[in-house]
Parts: sequence; structure tokens; C-alpha cells
Amino acid sequence: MSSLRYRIRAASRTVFSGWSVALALLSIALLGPFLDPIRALAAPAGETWLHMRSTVLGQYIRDTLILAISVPVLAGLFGSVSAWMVSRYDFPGRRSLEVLLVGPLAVPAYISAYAYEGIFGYFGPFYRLIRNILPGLALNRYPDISSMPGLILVMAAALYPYVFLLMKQAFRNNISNALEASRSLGDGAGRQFLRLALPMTRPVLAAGLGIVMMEVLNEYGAIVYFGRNTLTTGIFRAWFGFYDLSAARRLGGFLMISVFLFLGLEQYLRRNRGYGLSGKRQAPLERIPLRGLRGMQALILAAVPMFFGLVLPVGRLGTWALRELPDARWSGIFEGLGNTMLMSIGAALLITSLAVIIGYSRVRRPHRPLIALSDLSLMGHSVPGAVIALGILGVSSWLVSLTGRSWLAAGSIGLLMFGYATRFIAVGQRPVSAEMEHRLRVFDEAARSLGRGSIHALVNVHLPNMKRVLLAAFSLSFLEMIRELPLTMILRPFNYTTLAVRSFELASNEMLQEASLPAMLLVLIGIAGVLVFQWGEVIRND
Amino acid sequence: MTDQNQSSLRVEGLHRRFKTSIKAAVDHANLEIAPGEIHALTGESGSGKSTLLRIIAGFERSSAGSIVLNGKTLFDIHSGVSIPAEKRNIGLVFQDHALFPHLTVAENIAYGLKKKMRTERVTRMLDLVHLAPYANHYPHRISGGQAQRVALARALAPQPELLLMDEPFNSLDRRLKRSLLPEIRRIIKAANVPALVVSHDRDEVYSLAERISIIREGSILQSGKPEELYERPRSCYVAEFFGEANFLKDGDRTLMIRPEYIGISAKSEREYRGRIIDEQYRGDRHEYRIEISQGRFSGQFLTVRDYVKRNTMKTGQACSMSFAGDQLIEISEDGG
Repeated sequence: MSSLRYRIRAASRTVFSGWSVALALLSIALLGPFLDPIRALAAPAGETWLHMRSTVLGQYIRDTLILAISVPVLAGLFGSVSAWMVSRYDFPGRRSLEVLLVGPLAVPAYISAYAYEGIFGYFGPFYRLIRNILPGLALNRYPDISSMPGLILVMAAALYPYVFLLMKQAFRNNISNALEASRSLGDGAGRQFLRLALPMTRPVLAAGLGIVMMEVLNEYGAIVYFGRNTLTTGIFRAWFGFYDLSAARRLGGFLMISVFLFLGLEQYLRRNRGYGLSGKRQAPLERIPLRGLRGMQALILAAVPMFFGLVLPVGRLGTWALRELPDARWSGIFEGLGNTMLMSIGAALLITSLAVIIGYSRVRRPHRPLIALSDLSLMGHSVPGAVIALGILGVSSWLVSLTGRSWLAAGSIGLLMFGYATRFIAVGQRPVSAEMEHRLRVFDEAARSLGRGSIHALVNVHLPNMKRVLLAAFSLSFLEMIRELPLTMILRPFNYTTLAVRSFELASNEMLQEASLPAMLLVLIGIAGVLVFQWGEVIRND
Repeated sequence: MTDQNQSSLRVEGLHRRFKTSIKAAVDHANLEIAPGEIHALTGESGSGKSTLLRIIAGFERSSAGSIVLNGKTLFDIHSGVSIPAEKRNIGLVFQDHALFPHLTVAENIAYGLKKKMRTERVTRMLDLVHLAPYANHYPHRISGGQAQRVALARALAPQPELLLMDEPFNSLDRRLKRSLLPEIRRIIKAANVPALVVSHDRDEVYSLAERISIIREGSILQSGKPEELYERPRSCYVAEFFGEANFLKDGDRTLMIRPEYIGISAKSEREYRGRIIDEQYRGDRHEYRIEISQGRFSGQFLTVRDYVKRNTMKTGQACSMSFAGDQLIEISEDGG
């Protein structure tokens, strides 16, 4: 009996400790927005839905599937080949290329898309070049960039860095012993890559492809711009075209189910995670030097994705922006810039603080169901922004009807912040939790054994030791938010523009040159963000 | 509670089973430490010694039993008392020291101290561990042995009622350890605090502890002075844990004698006769493997150590042996 009493007391102490309560509340708040659309599947279908189903739904699903499969394949090829080249070989320009290959993270696909249209479209320089070389080429034989293959290329060139970063890490640090063994057994470069490096890093590759796939499901701007339709763009059509929230939520529900399917597929590909990859960090791989012609070949091969993802779009935007500078209308641009910076810095601060609270609550070992709930609540990064936006609208209308406070309704900055936090919390929480779980548990125990409580330990021991991780969490989530489009489009207050929204709107109205200035600003801020983050990485490697 | 006069820490019936395992990590363990005593808890890796220490520190829960420190109940399953780790007033030295990297040596030592007494206490601790010149160094600037002493000073600074050390010398190399151990012992003694040191290393245990408890599969097998555990082990497991042992069968009884208590001679003058079946040079000694050929242990084997090394014998040679007076003891065969 008394043992039971003790157990209840002990259990209630952990369940109701401040940190557990905080973790539970945060998890529930972050879960609401993307579980809400699934509920919509149970509601009876409306007229818009029936109409969409009989006309366009099939095409939405087809395009979604084509993109969700072919973009990751091409991005995987781009990312793993260039990761292999820069980690296995040393050639002139390798160091700079390693940084530049991450560059496309600063050039979102929707911006890339209209830069490509500017280059390869019928009035672009590429078309003129072709006409000069082959004057007889019929217009309809000329390859159209705004086609499915063009869209796949644009998106893959924008998204491959996710694969590149993960694969580079794996090639450099996890398989060097095996590679050296294979080399000593006389395997050539091709064999080492295909027979050893790729199979051994399959789980990492699957993780990278998974991220790319989720980004494809999230993408709105590039797809609309190229005139294609996916479930995500369908949400916008239902919401902004028909003002039918229930049909939009229904589409969101379907999208959520496909997210779950893809996540399942990714988990399946990542099975046998232990196979080949020992968790132990091995000595970094010694690079094979390539000089002269072979060095040039290696450089060119490794630089291909960077050419498509960074050089072409930024070159086009840059020349437009220079031409546009003299008669630019700055007030709109500055407004967008101010909103983007304020919003993203604010949300990145919010996310970093939440990540600290979540990470610390998890280190303090709450009960397992709570950890599972928290895991689920951190899934937002895999959920398309449009779905989260709909979920937020659903949650807010529920709150309004519950409390009668209309300020909780759509169109407020608060909701937009909430949306960003839901979608990007994992970006900040991942580095924070990794650091806390691996290194700070023992510091926490040391502080407690010296008679200090949790808040004292957090403020005086943990946070001062986490500067670079906090910087990483802040800059990574900041980088995601400045370019965020679909969620911002749905949740923003009336007439509230960010650089992303502004450049997308101008481009959709075919004002490509005008769109280039906000786009270029966005890219520059993004590059600065990448540099801050890289700087953090450099400190880490010291 | 004053009638528990001799013990400072009294641990009874602690029990802990992890969800992922069938066996208990700590299995109704009992332990007692006298005031000012340095007590070592030893056992193989995975025997539950660290878990037991973490339960006492308050970082792991026990599903049974009680912990009483200087008459104050820290944990008791029956009354439902469980004082959180930060209120137990127990100092802890961690395996890798866990010094806070952003604080200097002095700031690390000051971390657990109230403002009022901080300066005075830090100065005293720095003097005690002979690290005053390093007060303003950061942990990455000092050596492993110095870090060890800082960790100890930090744990002792708030004047804990008990000091726990979890494999504190694991990260140090052998030679450094040898010079550091007497120093650590001196510091703990000067602080006059009872200490429980978890270690799997026999040398560490012998050079630090006044009493030793040996744990296996979560249960304490035997507690006692070092010489008790070495010379009067209760079971074969304990005997072998602390050194080489010869086990001899005599009917249903099992007897044990340490190799160095066996005298050996090339003549047949001594009590037991045998034949050398293997001999090995081992640096400080010669070691013989012998088959007994006569008497009640006939047909059984012995290991004998000869530290004098004057007349070495060859394999195949006949010999005779004598056992030192009371060193042939009866022992239980199983773990209990």
C-alpha cells in the first residue's frame, strides 16, 4: 500500500513538475495546427470539393506524385555526386566550391523559377543565342523551360544542398575506414562510390531525400509559376479561388496523409540504420589530390549543381536588379524588407527560446508518453506550410468560438508567428536538443549535486555553454523563415508584405525585372545567413 | 535514529530494474558507511555499482528500500519520502569531472556556495587541493590530475554530508593515478566527510578505501576491510575478484588458498607432494602450475608463486608444498 502511495507521489511529482507541464502544453499547441486538417476528412464533402474531385483532383495527384518522386531523385544525384567529389578528392578550388555548393539554400525555388523563365523563355538571352546559331529552328521545337522537366530541374537545383550537406558529413566522417580498405584492395574511384560509399550511406541518403520530398510537397510558388498543379497549389485555389475553407482543409487532410505515407517510406528506406554506419566518428577521410586536367574535370563535375542552383538564377537576377536600380520604387521594397527582418528575427527568437524550453524539459526525463507527444509535435517541418496555415485558421476559429475574442481570428501577426513556430520549431530544436542530450545531462547532474535548481543550472551553466548551438538554431530557422511563402501567403494580415510575398506577386504579374530587386535582397540576406551559420560551424570545428 | 550510532550512511533494500532489462540493475542492496570512512564500491562493469551510486545521489529512483544519511531520511519507500538530488547535500565527483567549461577553476569551486561564505571557502578549498595558483585558469587549460582535484574541491566546497565518486580516475593514465591517489585520500580525510567511491580497479580500491563492498548483479556480496575481502572472502567470486585463488575440493567442502601462501620446495620434505606441469617467468616472480599427487587433494591443481626465484624448477620435476597456517579457508562456491 505504502509503496503504491509512494509511486503515485513520485509519478505526480514528475508529471506536474514545471518542465513537464511546459513540455506538454507546448507539444499540444504545436500539434494542433497540423492535426486539424485531418479532422476535415471526416466532415461531409461540400460542393466545391465534389466539383474539384470530378475535374482537377486527378491531375493534382498525378503532378504531386511526379514531382515528389523525380525531384528527390535528381536532387539526390546532384547532392551525392558533388558531396562525393569534395570529400574524396582534393582539386583546385575545392574549398570555395564546398561553401558555394550550399549557396542554393539562399535561392528559393520560386525565385529560381522566374529567373529561369527569364533566361530560357522566348524573350530571354538563351533563346536569342539559339536563334543565332540555328536560325531555322521552329518555335515549337524549342525546349520550353516552363514544362514538367524544367520544373523538376529548377526544384532539384534549389533543393540538392539538403542532400549534399548530409552526404558530405557521412562520406567524410563515417565510412573512411571502409573506403581505405576498399582502396587498398585495389578498387577504383567509380567502384568505391557505387559499391561502397552509396550503399553504406543509404540511410543518410534516405534522410536527405526525405527532406527534399517534404520540401516538394511544401512548394507553392515555383509550381504555380510554371503552370502546374499539386495538392498544395490546389489548397490555394480552393481557398483564394472559391473561398471554400472546408474544401481547402480537405485537400490539406489528403496532403497530410501523403506526408505520413512518405515518412513511412523514408523510415522503411532507413531501416537497418546500424548497417555499415557505426555511430563512432572515424578519422576524417584523407582526400586524394587531383591536379591538372583531372583536377579541372573534377571541379566541373562537382560544380554542375551549383551552376544550376546558384550561378544561373543569381546571374539573371543580378543583371535585372542592376538595370532596375535607377528607377526602383524603394518604399515598397523597404516595407517588405522591414517586415521580413522583424518577422523573421522575432520568430527565430521565439523558436530558439521554445527550443531551449523543449530541449531542457526533454533532458529532465519526463515520462515516455510525453516524449512521444513531443516527438510528434516536432514534425511540423515535414508538413507543408499551406496545411499548417489551414490548421492554424481552424484552431483560431475554434478559439474564437470558444472565447468570443475576435482578435484571435485570422490575419494577425500573432497567428503568423504561431505558424512559423509550428513549421520551423524542429529546425531550431534539433541542434539544441542534440547538444543538451549528449553533453549537458552530466552538467545538469553536477549542478544539482551542488544544490542548485533547474533554472539556476539552465541560466548559469547550460546557456553560456550553448552559444554556438543557439546561434545555429537562430540562424537556421531565420534562414527558413525569410524565404517562407505559402504559409505567409495564407496567414498574413491584409496588405502585409514580406520580400518573399512581394517578389512572388510581382513575378506572377510578369513584372520580372521589378521582382528582381526584392528577390535579390532576399538572396543576399540568405547568403549572409548561410555565412553566419558557416561561421558557427567553423567555431564548432575549432 | 541516534541508536544507529556507527553509521553515517545507511542504505537498505534499494532496488532498481530498468524497463529494457529482465534482471534488476540493483537488487535489494544494503550498504553502511561509518562517519569519516572512505568506502569503495567495486564490481565488474554492469554490476550495478554506478546505478546504486546514482540512486543514493538522487538521480535514479529506487522501487524499494530506504536511504538514511546522518539520521535524516533521504528516501523511504514506506513513508513516501524522496528528497530531490539538489536538496540531499551530497557531493558528487563525476567520471569525466564534468567541470563547467565556461567557468574558471575558482568559479567552478564557488558554483555551489552561497554568496556570503564564497570567497573564504573558495580560498580554503584551493589551498586544500594545492591549486591556488590556478584559480583563474579555465578547465581546458589545466591537466587531467588538476581537473580531478578541482572536481573534488568543487564537490567538497559546500560541506556535503557525503561524498560520492563515480569511477573518478577512469580518464587518467596509470602513472598519474598512482601519484594522485594518496593526494585524493589526504584531501578527503582532511575534509572529514564519509565517501563512497565507485571503481572497478583493484589498485584504486586498495589505495583509497578503508572498507570495501563488492557488488555483483545488483547485490552486495560482501563488505569489509580490504584484508578481510582478500584473505577471508566468503565466495569463489569474491576470492577471484580480488586476486589469484586456488580452489580445492575436500568432499563437499570447497577450500581456498592464495598462491603466495603456498611454500614450495624441490625436495620431498613438505606436507603435499606434486609434480610441476608448467612454469612461467613473470617478472617479479616465478609461477608454477602443479598437480598434487598425494593426500586428500590428490589429482587437483594449484598455482604457486615463488617471489624468491632462487632455485627455479623445471616442468616435469617433482616437488613438495606447505600451506601457511590459517590461510586455507572454507568458502562457498556460488555467488552468495
